[in-house]
Amino acid sequence: MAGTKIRSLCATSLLAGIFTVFSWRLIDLQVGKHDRYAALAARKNVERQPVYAKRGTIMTMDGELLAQNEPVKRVLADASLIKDHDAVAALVAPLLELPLDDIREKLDRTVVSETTGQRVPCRYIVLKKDVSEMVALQISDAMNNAKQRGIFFEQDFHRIYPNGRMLSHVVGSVNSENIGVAGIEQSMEGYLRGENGYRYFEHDRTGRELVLYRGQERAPRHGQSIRLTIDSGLQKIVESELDEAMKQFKPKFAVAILQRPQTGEILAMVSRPTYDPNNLPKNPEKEDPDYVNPVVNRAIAASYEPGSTFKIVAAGGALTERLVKEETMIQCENGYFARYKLKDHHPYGELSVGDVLVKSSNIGACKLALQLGEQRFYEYVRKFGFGEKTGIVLPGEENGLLEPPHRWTKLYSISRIPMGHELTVTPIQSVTSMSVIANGGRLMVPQIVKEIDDDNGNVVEAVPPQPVRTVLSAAATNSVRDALMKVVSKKGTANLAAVKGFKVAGKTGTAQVYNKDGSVSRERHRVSFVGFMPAEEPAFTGIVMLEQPQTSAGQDMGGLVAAPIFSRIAERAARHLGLVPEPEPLPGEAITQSDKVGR
Amino acid sequence: MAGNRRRHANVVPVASIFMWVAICVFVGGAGLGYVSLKNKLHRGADEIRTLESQIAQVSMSITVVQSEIQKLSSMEALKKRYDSDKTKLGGLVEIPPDRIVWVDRPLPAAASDPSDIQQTANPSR
Repeated sequence: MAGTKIRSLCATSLLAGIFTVFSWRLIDLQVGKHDRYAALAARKNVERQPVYAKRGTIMTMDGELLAQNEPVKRVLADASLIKDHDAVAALVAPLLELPLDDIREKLDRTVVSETTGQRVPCRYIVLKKDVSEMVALQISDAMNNAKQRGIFFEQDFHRIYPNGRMLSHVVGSVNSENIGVAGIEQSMEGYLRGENGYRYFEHDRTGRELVLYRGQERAPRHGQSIRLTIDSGLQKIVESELDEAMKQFKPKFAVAILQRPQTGEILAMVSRPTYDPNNLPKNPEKEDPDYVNPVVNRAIAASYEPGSTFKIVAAGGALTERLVKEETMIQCENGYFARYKLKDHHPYGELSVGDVLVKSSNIGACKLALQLGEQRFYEYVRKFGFGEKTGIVLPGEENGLLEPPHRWTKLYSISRIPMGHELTVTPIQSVTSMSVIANGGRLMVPQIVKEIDDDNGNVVEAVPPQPVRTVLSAAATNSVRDALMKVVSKKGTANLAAVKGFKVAGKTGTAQVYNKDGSVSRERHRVSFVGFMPAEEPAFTGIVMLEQPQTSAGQDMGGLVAAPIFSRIAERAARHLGLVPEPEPLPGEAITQSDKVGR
Repeated sequence: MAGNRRRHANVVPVASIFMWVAICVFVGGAGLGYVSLKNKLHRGADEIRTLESQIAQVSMSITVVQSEIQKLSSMEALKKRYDSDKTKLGGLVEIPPDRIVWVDRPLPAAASDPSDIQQTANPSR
């Protein structure tokens, strides 16, 4: 009896012990190590899938799309799910147009497992980006037919520029990560770039999503769209005229800008040579001294001596300070100002302030600056916005070069700066300063962004015009404007800038360029014309600038090269904007192409 | 007494059986119901996934088509199309600026709407 009792006690104890051990282990697994195993299971079956945000579009004022997104797929592989790497590689390689060995090498890639510490097949391999929807569908069908698995697709967007070279310098481009690296793409990155969303989901062993176990989800915030101030019609006009000029004169580079003077809005901006942002140019392998990088936007980055177009500063300053009146006579020393070793192209005796601009007298401009004095003249140069960035929302803008008066060369600088030498300006500074004359004396920030829209097209933020300061008095701007109107007449240097039916005001510029050794080139010039139209109520201010145009000897002058280009642009622009021409002048007053004076 | 004992001994415990059968049916039914509902949930989820993928496909194909339309209606594409059609159709030529008539005087005061005046003065726009 006692033996039976002992046996049953032992059996009971043994069973109880075994079950206690099992129970302990069960509790340890389910409770004690719950977090660890839950995390392991989640790592294996739960995935965080990114939901890509669309980058905002860029368009012109009239809705012409300049940068948009094309839906594409990113082809991914989970090597842990692929049984036959060779078969899948052979299936996918021709469709992705990639070498078979490359695909195989990617699929064979292994990584160190965080849990086991052993090398395991990689579960996230990017086979190719920017694959079209059609190809993705073909791959999917091919995989299904071959009963293979392990290839997935992620939605992505590829940046395209439907208008190619048009406005490429303003729009810019993005890098392979869809981050803006030039132009508006770069400067407005914060607005254009959205924020990716995500979703957590659980999948079965075949990789299929288990909808019942969906986790947290956040929708993407798409990027905002940028509407520029550019008028696509005007842009096309300016581009076609500048392309013609490039063919005709073969300059090293050329720039043209149209601006609305009252608001500072840029209506057109062209820089040549140019490029197609869909197919970015590569830098030349060998260093070429004549290479002109087409990616640089010279409308804001070319820093050059402006020449005679700069004479409006001295004239405007002296008139605003009431040191002179429009009809005040300036002694122009018959063509040579000995004290300053300064020459005019033609000998002039006395010229009125207006005629100093009309005849483009260097000595006259120097004398106006002398009346202002070094410090006050310098202040006017700065007031016109020279020597600092204009504030346009484009990356890569240059300041231009302007030394303060205490660094000026005695006698020399005060005589050379008023005629546009010994300082450098950018085309955008030049056109903005001319807009000061056109709009009655206010300096405006050149505006390239009109408004910011959300992805449904609703306006989120409108960018208002930004006045900087009043530079000239109304009376002074009227006097300078009257003089600039005479510049574009038979008596002036820019009669070829005239447009039938409209009054044009403007100023030519012909500046010498420097050789590599620092000497001044006698043969090569930089020509420009800056003006506005209609003169009394300007619809636009414009600049045309060509670097070293190739012409017959003595013909590379602002009045002969840049002024006619401005005229053609202005005529077509007037038609595009619906400007009403004035009645035709009498036949005797008509200006013909043969009346070439030009300086 | 003997008769009563016999009758008592042969009585089937109907109530008890009924109770246990009911419990079994209830537990079994609940189990089956649970499985059936769970199955329905999974099938519903599968349908949702299929529909979602169809919606995503349709939505994506709309985006692709929209993108294609925008590309084809860009100024650059239209210019290329125009250039190719010009030769194909034989004679479709752009109007040169000098062939466009300008209205060189403002319209009479009767045309009070300024937009009308601009439109008339700008036939090429």
